[in-house]
Amino acid sequence: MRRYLIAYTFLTPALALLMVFTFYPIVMGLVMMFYDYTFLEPMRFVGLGNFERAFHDPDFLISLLHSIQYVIVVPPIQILSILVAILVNRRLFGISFFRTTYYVPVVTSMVAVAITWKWLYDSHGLLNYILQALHLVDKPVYWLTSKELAMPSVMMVTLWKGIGWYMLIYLAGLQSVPAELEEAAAIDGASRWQVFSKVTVPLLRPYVLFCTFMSILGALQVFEEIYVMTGGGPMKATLTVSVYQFYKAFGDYDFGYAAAVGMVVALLVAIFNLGMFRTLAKGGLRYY
Amino acid sequence: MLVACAVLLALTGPLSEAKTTTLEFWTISLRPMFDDYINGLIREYEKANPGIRIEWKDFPITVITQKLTAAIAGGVAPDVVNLNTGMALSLAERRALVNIGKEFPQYQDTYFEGLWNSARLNDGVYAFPWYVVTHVVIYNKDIFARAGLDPNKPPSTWEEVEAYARQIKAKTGLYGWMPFINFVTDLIEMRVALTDETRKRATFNTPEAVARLQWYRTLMEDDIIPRESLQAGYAGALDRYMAGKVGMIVTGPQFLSRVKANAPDIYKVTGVGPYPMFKGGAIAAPLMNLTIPGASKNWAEAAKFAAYVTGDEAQLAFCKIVTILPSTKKAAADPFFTQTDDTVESVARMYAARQMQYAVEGDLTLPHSADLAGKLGAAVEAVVYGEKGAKEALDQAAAEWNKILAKER
Repeated sequence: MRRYLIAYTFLTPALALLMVFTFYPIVMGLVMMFYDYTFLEPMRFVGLGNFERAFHDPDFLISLLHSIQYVIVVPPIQILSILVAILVNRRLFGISFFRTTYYVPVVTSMVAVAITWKWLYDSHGLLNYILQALHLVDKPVYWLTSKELAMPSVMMVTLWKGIGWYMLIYLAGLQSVPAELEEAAAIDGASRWQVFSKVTVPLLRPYVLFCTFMSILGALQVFEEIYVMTGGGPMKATLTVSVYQFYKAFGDYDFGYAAAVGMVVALLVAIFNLGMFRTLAKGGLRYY
Repeated sequence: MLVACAVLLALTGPLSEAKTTTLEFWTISLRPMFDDYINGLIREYEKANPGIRIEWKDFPITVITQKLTAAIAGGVAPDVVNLNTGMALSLAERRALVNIGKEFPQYQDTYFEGLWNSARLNDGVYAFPWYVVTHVVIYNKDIFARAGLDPNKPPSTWEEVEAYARQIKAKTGLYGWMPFINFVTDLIEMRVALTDETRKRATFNTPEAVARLQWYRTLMEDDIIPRESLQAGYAGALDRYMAGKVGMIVTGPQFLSRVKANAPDIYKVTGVGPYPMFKGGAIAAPLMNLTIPGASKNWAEAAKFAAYVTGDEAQLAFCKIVTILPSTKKAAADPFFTQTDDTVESVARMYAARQMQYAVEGDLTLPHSADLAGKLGAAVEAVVYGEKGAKEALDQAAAEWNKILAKER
């Protein structure tokens, strides 16, 4: 009993903060999505009206499509950070320099990263300067102002910023793989690729599961890089659900509708991750 | 006896002190450049009004309405808030602001009638007009000279703006002009009626509007204006100007103080010219206001403070440190606005003041303004980036406006 008392005493401050800043907003969000609510006028119950409206709202449907595109593209490419982790897992002179370098974007604020990349992507920015100087293109590439390139350009920034974080998780995973298993496979005549694909990668499965889960969550909630670099444009080409939700809530004061849109995102996260758990949560070292 | 007196004083002392009322005062992007001015105003006001304490907070324009709605919802509403007319009307529509016209009509005569009426919605007036500016051309004389243009002759018409921009691009490779494309403003200045008299039907899809939109598209296609013009806003254009990467911008003269502080080398070669007006003879004059949220608990004290900040003396003093114009009749009559010295600020102020006779409100003053602006903005974007024809896009935007305007508010 005393042990529980001590444990809960330690937990109380964190729980109190969670109550105020997490659970209360969640409950309020759940209530709000059934109301027409602008913060400034009295709430009006509309039942499922906000959801019905969402699925007849072309802007929401476009933003939903873009968010799904984000999930289809970004998390699978993010898995390549395993390769970076393998590269920095070697015992080479100065390797910690590279580990740190790859990790620097992770600790940099997304707003700062987005502003920097906005400059790099500018039609007269550094990236275009280099491409033109090397005669790879004869006129500037419109990274953020063309409908076709804006989304891949923003995705690139998300990947660039995230790769160090996932690298670190995979690095921890690689260092927890028992060396004797890999050595045994090598003694049995397995090639380096076979050791990697048949021994190392399966043992990394829990890490892949965790990273993919986080990456899907991040991709569906992507906000800062889009808000800062394109604002959802050009011509809504980068409008994702989170950005749309923000505009509805803080641009149009349409908080009830924004809450309903948020719920659709939450359901999407649940569906994607359920599918992923079913696919990946087999075999490997079980830490879950 | 002495002890008894001391006890009595100690007991009665705090009770005899007047209760202090704290007014929260929010402004837009005045920190840190105008710290001394605002703090000075506050000090003077607190000295003259014992029992009132002013707590000043400053926010960027991009977040102030979000902060304000959150504060109102959280029950900690500020008392006096600086908003532009569009923001003020948007909140007034939702009954979030005090109807100053009804509650405090005694202040009305201080201000120019047109400016007092800017924040009018139905029968109410929801803001104290504060400072106002009309735009001017700010240009880089050095780039003009390099392009073979006369550094002392800024463009005076839109045709000249285009011709100069083309010449600068051809001769220097730099952009000659970076616009901040606000098509609502363009339409207002061209005297294209946005709606009919019922305010329920859009009427902006006229041949003049189509031609203007097509003009932007041609400039973008010919790479005469940067692709980022639509998204960068005033701040983006100013950044490029301060980096010496653009020949001219059309903006408020108050930004000259930023050029002076952040890019002194560019400031040295900066010239100003009058705003290149349309034939309609109107200039959109962005107006800053002070509003009182309905959720404030101190309406009367807030109104008194807002009237003080927007009063003759305070506005004249403000105009002397930054190139803006006052909204009060008495301050505007000061000879300060007609005299110039050698500084570009004084020339800009002279142009801005001279142009005030053409000033009109440049914000959308219709219900559902955010929605309407969004639809028109999407049409402009589609045309400028070559997705749609100007006529088709404006017709479509007008149809969307009709649907939105039909809604009750």
